[in-house]
Amino acid sequence: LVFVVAALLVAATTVALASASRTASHKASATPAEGANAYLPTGVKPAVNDWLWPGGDESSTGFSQLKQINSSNVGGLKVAWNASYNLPTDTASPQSQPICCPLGNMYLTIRTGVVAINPADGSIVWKYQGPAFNTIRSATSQVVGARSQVFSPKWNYIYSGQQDGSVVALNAKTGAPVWTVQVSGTGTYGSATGAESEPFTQFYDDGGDGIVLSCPNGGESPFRGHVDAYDAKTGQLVWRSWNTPDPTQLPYILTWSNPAEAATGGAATWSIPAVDPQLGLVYYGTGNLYPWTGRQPGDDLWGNAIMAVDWKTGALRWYWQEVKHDIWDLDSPNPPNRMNVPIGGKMVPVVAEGGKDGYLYVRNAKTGGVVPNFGFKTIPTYDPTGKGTALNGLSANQVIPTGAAGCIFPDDWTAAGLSACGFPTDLLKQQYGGANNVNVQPDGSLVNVANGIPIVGTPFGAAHTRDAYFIFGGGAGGGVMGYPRKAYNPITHNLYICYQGQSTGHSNSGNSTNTLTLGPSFSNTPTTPQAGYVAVNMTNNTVAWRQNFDATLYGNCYSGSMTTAGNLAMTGTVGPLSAALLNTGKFPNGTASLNLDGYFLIFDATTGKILFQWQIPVPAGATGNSTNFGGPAITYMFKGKQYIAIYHGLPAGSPNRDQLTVFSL
Amino acid sequence: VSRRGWIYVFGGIAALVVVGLAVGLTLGLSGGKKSTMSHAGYARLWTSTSVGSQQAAVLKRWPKPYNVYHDGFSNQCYEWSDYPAYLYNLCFKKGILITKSLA
Repeated sequence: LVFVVAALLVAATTVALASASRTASHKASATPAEGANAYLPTGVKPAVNDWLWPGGDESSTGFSQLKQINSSNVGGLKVAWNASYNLPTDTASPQSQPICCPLGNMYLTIRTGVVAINPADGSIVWKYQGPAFNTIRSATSQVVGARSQVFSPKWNYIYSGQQDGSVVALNAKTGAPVWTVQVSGTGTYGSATGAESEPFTQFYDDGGDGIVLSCPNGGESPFRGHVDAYDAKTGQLVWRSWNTPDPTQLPYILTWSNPAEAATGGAATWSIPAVDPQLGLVYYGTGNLYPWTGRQPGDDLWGNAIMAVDWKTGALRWYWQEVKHDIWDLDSPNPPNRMNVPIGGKMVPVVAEGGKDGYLYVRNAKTGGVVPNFGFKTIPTYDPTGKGTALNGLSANQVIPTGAAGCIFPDDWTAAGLSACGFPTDLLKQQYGGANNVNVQPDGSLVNVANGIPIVGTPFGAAHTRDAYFIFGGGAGGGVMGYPRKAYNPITHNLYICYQGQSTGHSNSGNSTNTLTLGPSFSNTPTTPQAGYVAVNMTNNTVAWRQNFDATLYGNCYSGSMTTAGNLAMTGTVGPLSAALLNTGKFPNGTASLNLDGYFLIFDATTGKILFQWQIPVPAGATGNSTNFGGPAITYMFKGKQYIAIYHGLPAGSPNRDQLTVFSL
Repeated sequence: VSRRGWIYVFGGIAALVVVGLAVGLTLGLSGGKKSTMSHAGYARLWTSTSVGSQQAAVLKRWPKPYNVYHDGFSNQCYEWSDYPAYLYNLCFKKGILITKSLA
């Protein structure tokens, strides 16, 4: 009898503890919005002294209400401190960003774990070592580390993705792990040459325990993309929203000629979701489909789409597919911004998502419908021979935005098309002229000198034909608008976008049907990418201002954006792409590498004038390689002083390959 | 029962409670990551489970799941973690297996 009682006690204790840690209630809550916060959905707290969410607030506007540092004094900004937290062997520029300052600490996800930092001087409060990268993925390295960590004020937990595809909740005071959940299987990337980033984390207060959102990245293997909602206290899976339909989901499954393909169709989620407690929606972008090519005809929902799902159940509310039947890896990794914008005398709820294809997709946040002034047009999917679309089962046409939203990057490379978007009419010649095996003809057109076949530019690549073409905003390097966020300023009504000139080329020899060469493998990769920073007026869909980056100075732009009430907008650059600079003696061990030290740039948010710039110093012994900004800035107030922080890379040969640099007046 | 006997009884209970706490915390905090089934065992189950099968028959063959949840389509879903390689997911509608997905 005694042992029976004891066994029952053990069983009861075990069950109680296991279940107690996974029990949750989920009740909605909302507070009335204040006038000054009308740009936010009701219930979203603005970023003021603290930067608590990856995008500053739950809706990922990227806007801070701080203005101690402003357009009149930002020129006096100085480095307050900088520090490295990662491993010397880290090979990629970080794309993450810290949050600050819950419990008086800054928190930063690094590739190997999480570190709590003193916001005043960068000293380490605690450091958590996560699980090691697992080579069972058949990959030898990750593409990037985690991009976000997030905080729950109710539990004082920090949530971060880990290298084994899990998410960990840490005690924010001590760094002790509280729970872990497996979000993705590491074996799902078995065929990829490089594993992808750690799962992102996003948090929202649902009135109960709170929800942590996460999902796998990738999509280069036969898995099924999804977004998960976990109980913030316990780690219990509350709901999962799949990114491809099951066979019962009519009419969506009919977009797959072979429904079985949908079950392994990829469509991962790379983008950090935005949350709208007022409408009870979660917004996110979906990734490329699997396999890249060779699927049966059909639009293949919900690949390359903006998704809006119910924040309580994950049920689909609306979607907008950006690229139908994608074979170019022109997916949607850019974090959506959810904001209310004054249009026609009304505050209109909008979601803005930037595609790798270079288009800014703006939709009504409530319905997914068209936003006034943000029109769309239907264009044929590019096919220079008339054979390609049928050959590959492509959708006959695509739907793209008009106005400034269609002019983030050139899509019509004719002189008239370039002029309409305000680009130089000889841009194609600037981009490709004289490079490698490109010949510029008297009429401005380009041909491949190897075979005399014309080279054309197109927003949507042709199916694999024998003609040469290049696509801008291709799969390599994250496309035109990649993983780092955009930022919306409710005072200027501008959306600030850092965009890069990234081409994916396809040679006219070697490609056969249903094969796709991703990356800048085409020998005509431009040496002067048309990158820059653009402010899009969200009220009337016009370009408020644009800074075209000098490729020999700033290079590409790939670190997203942040904006403040101090009339500031800011980004970081990849660095000069001029080989000539390597021979100036500036770089101790000058190499043939073309990625040098990038700049942190702060603009007047109204005019676009550059008010402050800071170039990453090259440490002694460095070889001048891969020193750039890959993640967005944040800002915070600590002990009465405003700081701006940005996490960036350091060159190979540096003692560490990462650095967090913090500025103040 | 002698006094020493009671000491043994309560000592035994205390020890079992400690063990229970340890097991409970492990399960609760690890999210049930540990599994006694081999990779090969999971692979065999996965390949031999067919869409269209009855829920009860399927679940009878599989071990205790890592997650039980409803997906965005209101399907009843189960997930098994073959850590660290795979997350196997089976989703049922009206008692019939409709999708097999790796998460």
